[in-house]
Amino acid sequence: MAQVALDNVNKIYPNGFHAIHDLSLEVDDGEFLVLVGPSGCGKSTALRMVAGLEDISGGELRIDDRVVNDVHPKDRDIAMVFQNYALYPHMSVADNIGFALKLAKIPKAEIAERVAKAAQTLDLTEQLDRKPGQLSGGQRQRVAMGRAIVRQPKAFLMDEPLSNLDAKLRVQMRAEIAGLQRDLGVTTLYVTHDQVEAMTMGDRVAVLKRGYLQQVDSPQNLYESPDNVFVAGFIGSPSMNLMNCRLIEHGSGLAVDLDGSLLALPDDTLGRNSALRAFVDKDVVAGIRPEDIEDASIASDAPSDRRIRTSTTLVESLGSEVIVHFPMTVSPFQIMDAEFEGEDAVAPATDDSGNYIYTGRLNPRSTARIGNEIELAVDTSRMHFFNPQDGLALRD
Amino acid sequence: MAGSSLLSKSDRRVMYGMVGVPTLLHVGLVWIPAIATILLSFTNWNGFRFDTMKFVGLQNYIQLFTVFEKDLYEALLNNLWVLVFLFLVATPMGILIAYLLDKNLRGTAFYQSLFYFPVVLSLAVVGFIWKSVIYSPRQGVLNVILGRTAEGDQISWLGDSSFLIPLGDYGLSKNFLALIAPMVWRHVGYIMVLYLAGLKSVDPSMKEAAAIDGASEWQLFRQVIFPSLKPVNVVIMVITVIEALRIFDIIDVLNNPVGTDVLSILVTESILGESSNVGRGSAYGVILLLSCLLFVVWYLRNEFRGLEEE
Repeated sequence: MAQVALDNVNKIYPNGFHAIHDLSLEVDDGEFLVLVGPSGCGKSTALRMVAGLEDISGGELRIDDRVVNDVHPKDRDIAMVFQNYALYPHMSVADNIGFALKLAKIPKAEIAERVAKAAQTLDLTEQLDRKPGQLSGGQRQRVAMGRAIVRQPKAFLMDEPLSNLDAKLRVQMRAEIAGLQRDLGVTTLYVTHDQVEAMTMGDRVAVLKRGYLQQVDSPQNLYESPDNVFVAGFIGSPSMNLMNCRLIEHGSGLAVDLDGSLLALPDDTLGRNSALRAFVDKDVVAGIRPEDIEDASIASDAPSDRRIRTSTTLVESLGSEVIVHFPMTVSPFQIMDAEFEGEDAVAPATDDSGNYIYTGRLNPRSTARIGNEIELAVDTSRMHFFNPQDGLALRD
Repeated sequence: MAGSSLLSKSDRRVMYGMVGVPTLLHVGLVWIPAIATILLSFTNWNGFRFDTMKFVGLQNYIQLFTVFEKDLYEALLNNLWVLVFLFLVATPMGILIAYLLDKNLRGTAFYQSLFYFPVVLSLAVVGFIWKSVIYSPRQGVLNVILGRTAEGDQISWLGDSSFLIPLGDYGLSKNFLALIAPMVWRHVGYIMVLYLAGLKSVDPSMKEAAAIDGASEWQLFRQVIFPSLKPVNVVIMVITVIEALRIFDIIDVLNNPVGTDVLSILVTESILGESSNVGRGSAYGVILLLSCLLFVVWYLRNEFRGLEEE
């Protein structure tokens, strides 16, 4: 068990592509840290640098205070679980799990004992004599885990280990891996593109975008107070509604002007967030999580100046909740960055008359029907605000 | 048959055509000659007029193992030498080169073409090249390098049939070894291309997993890559054995120097040579066939045993 620290780590490929920019991260002893981000954000590259499978172009990587930038993977005392498991097809499950021990010249009896113990932990005892080709996806995944835990390494590195499993098995293995990690207490760096996986498994989650670290925090803090629009939009499902609007004075307090329709903010808003003062009568990006929107006929005590009158273009009833899609004239904030402008530009969803579509997550008792008028109540005390220039959160 | 009912009449016609024509060709060009060879090996025939054909029973075989015993054993041994050298020299070299080229060194494509080049040449052409460029007594590369080009001092690479490795009355003659060299040269490229294709199919993360597990380069190859390429290894083994058994053209175009007989040469010599004995030639052919069968049966047995295990 150990601490893994990245200190201003950079990765520049020979073709000049700068994949990781000054990444600084610390995984504490026994901690489960998840690296999450969309594809191409550099999360796997970062993990592979920790494993020693990619050279580090700049900065320092330390495992237990020892700089390991130029240490061969086998001498870093880490174990890695690959997305496709990377099992040795010609070896039995037992040989797969025990391969590292065999290479380390550990006595046969001890190998057998440790393999048996790992197999028991992972419920693989019955499969020890089989070849990987004869196993199901979930069993292969366990063998890959077994190969990691049998070594008792300083750290586990996991590269999207669940993405080849079907949805049900993924949920099950998610819990198993998290439980196993807690029992063993091994420092773990886990890469995924799935924010649900990240939120449910990680002690802390690091969000990456285009090689830049956006925010590292506990799942709850990422959700409650995202540092910028990217994190706000990435964490949470359905995504946060991000609207270009104007912050205006309204009575004794503030309101956001959503292209004509006003949403009043609670009176103590400025008191809680004085950073907003500088943006009165200016453009801001307002973020409303779908779960902070409710059918006004259910939230009947919601003040009338915190409601949106609209209609529904789509109603998805999931049993435990109802997702409604509703049009508004106000435009959504588009995440742009100078270096890659245009590449990400997926046109925002619109309806037939060119209105932009947003989502709300309503109580299942809602009577919303497709095409009907609806009044939605917004919990404006939970709104997020961002600077439209740099996308950073507006807060003290 | 649920499957065939889905086929229309014209589908079926195309299907019969596509299966039938190759089957007819195969039967006509492989099975009939093979069976004819077996039958002819029990006859005495000069190959010109059918009325001279005479059934002689096992006489041809008895002669092979008595009168022609020396020819037969020399040829069998020479085939075996080819096999040994292709296996112990050419195959490991081809695998080594493929393994190095798979590392994506600079100029991989160039080296790949370079090593593969001999394979596109027919062995007859390879023979001529080596004979005139490498082995020529007066201006060949070897004698020039060794400074043995003067009349009377020349080394006759293809003419010296004395044994380098004697084994009783038989052995590995010097000129046969000189013939094996170009076979090896060509086979290296063959194996390299086959193995390179196999290596490209190896999951890169498996190599990475092995590196993290602590495998050295040699352990990675020996314990992970090589065994995981079993299908390719089997193909390489089959090809090597077949190449060694059917070797013919390179020896024939170099006028079959003394001491360089192999089975296929004996077959042609007996049938087309002065004695023109189709029966004896066929008997040699049957022995060649049996050597192949020996290997094929052993190979198929292993394969089926492997299948049962899975």
